Amino acid sequence: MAERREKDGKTKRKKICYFTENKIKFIDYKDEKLLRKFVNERGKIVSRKISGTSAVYQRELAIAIKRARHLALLPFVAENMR
Amino acid sequence: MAKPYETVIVVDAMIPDESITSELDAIGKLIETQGKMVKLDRWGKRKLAYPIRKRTHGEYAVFYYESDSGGLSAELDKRLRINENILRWLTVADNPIGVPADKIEGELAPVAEVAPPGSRRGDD
Repeated sequence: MAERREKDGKTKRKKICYFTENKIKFIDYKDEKLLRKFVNERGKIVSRKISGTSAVYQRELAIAIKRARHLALLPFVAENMR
Repeated sequence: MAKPYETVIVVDAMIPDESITSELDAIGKLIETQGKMVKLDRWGKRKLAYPIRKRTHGEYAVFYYESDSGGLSAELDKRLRINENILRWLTVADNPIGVPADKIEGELAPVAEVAPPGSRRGDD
């Protein structure tokens, strides 16, 4: 699929879904390293628009992140995540 | 076929190690009364992402077990709630014993940053 031309002339690259790309079948709420990739510096969940994750995985991801937050593996809100 | 469960426990790290182990053993025995322990995975002491009850560090342990009786998690809940040494716990049913992504071999594609033009397209 060709890169789409945005109105402002910037070419927009089709975002690939991290999970389908790496054939990860299961998102584990205990796997903090993976979950951190989908949380921004404020500790908020990155939206699909930005991460390009497909819907099924985004739903699982959200649940896993919330569970990780409950167990204090991930913060609810963070000033200095990185 | 018994249903797989996993329970993550966060124990207050301020208490001495023996009592941490004894707390975990007690939980193990409790699980054995209505189920069968599969694996106990101790992560050791970790810094909490936010303080719980004024504590900044906790001892993490994951109990993997199987059980037929539905009431086990409720029983666990009751016991854990009473015990102040346990800061947090979470029981999940039917969660395939996840293999953390970093254990999966092979290189993982980076999260979708702006890749240089001409990089491989995702097939959607």
